[in-house]
Amino acid sequence: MWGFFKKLIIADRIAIPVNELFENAPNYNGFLLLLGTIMYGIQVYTDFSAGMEIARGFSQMLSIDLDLNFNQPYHAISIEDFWRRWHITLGSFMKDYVFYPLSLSKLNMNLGKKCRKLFGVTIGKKIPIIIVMFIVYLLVGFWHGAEWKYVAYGIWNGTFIASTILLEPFYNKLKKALSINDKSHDYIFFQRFRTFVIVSLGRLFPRAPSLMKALFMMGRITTGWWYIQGLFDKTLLKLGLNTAEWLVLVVGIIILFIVDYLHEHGKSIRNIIANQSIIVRWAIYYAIIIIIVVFGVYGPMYGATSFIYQQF
Amino acid sequence: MEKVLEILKGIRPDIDFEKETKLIDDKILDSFDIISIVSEFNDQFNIAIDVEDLEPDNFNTVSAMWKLITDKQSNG
Repeated sequence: MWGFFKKLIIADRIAIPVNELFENAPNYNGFLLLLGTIMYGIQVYTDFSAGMEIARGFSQMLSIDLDLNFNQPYHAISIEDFWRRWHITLGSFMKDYVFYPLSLSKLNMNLGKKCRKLFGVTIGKKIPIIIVMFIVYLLVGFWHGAEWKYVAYGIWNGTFIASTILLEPFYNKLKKALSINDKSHDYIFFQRFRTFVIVSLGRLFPRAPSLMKALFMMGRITTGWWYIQGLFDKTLLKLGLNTAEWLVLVVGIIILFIVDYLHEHGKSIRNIIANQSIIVRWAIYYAIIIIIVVFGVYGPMYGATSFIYQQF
Repeated sequence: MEKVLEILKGIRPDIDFEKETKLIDDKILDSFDIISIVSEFNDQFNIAIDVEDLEPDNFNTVSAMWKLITDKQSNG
């Protein structure tokens, strides 16, 4: 039911303003495009993870336990961490069949030796890993499709991963100099926010109609994000959702955040509900079904909107 | 064995390798660490650990890693 909630109440509703903002990007200012990018991040997460959870739910009814594919990706504290939590089965495939074989190939090992001689041990040992990571993320990009925008998506992720590996000593020194406690809640919040922004901006590439349009949007976002009046001049109401629809969406996202927060802290909503008395339990089940039926978005002519990842 | 510990501490000084028994199962070591460790082992012990050896059992503890190294050395 959680999958249906995410798909019908959040993903298919948020898709309406996202489609408008991405298809007609030149008509909107940087702030609204930034909002559209962030909303697309929420859409693709709720849509994709919902599909997986519905499939897992049906499989469990047949006593088949499918692997978890998402592990609260927006709680990630780095891009590397994000890709360990997002589309885990693809990540495992890439790790087992691309990353490890390429990293341990003779060619890469010899390259490592040469790099260590040329650049010293610290940087030299990182260069072969960085090259392999770039190849992995380029392949992840190509996995989405054979277009330049997907190559750019791969380069975007590869660049951030590479810079994290290369600049790690510098970051450590900076943290020490600024007396930053990297276990503090404030710093972890900053890390999560930073990762969310980088991931969301990167999503411009696969979602925009073309590479040039993605670059145009990124340019407008980075130079005009302060046009915050877009929030208050009723433009939001011209994106396909009325006030009540926006309210349902915001409440849905808040519920999503709370559920993910609880899961991240080891609390299972499913177990909490299962431990209630039969009356309370079924009252909750019926309430969720009614909420999904009443507030769900069903697409034109009551045909369900397709899953974004169904073609992959 | 001492040399193995030295290499591991050089790569991840934040981990108490002598105490940990589930370095892979508990996701204490990540894929970058594994590649760095294998690369160092191959160099320092003149062995060739390959993809087939990347089993959790071979890297969960220091003694398992040491066993992998000695097996590789004895198998030439």
